[in-house]
Amino acid sequence: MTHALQAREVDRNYDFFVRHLAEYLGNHRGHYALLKNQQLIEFFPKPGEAYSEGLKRFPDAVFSIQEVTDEPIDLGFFSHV
Amino acid sequence: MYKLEGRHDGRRIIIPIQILVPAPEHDLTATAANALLDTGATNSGITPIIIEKLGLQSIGKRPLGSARAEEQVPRYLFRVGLEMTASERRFPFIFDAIDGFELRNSVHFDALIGMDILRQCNFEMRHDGGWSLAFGM
Repeated sequence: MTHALQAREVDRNYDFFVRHLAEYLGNHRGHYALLKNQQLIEFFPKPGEAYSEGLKRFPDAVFSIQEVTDEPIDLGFFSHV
Repeated sequence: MYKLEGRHDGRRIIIPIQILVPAPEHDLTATAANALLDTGATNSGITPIIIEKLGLQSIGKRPLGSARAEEQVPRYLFRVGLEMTASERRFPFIFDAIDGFELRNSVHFDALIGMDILRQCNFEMRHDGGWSLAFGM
């Protein structure tokens, strides 16, 4: 897997994810979405479970994972640097 | 339950930790890091140097709020290991993989431990300058 391939997969899946986020939030807030080729594969309660399943399903390891949340990361200390 | 204890300098608490690859569970490939305990941060983060050392690939993106603007930051899966003092265990206690972010512009530490890890612990800071972090409950 190259960084470029994975970066493109992350970007494309993120666009797909953001477009569908509102519908996911209802029943899956806080879960982790496994995404491949701009498609939702499955939700998982923990990121590690989504990652392990991604490696199992996609031997090329090209996939992405997004937490179902509409909250940005808040860095506390760093937010004010 | 395991416990880390120390004394703070009145400004911040920085502890030695291990950052490990996210999977498989038996893969203990790790690198050492100094981490800031930050109860104001929702998520944990690691610097690009740590990311490069472990060969981690970004698995997604997420907005990050800062004083200047909101930007998209790459996210990485990794595990955090805490060394245990006064313990018979030889290996660090390893938390489940977390969904962290790339920590930029860090000078005093190369990882940040946020509430995704701290909420799994008992954290105490005392007026005499001592602190403790209990985990593995």
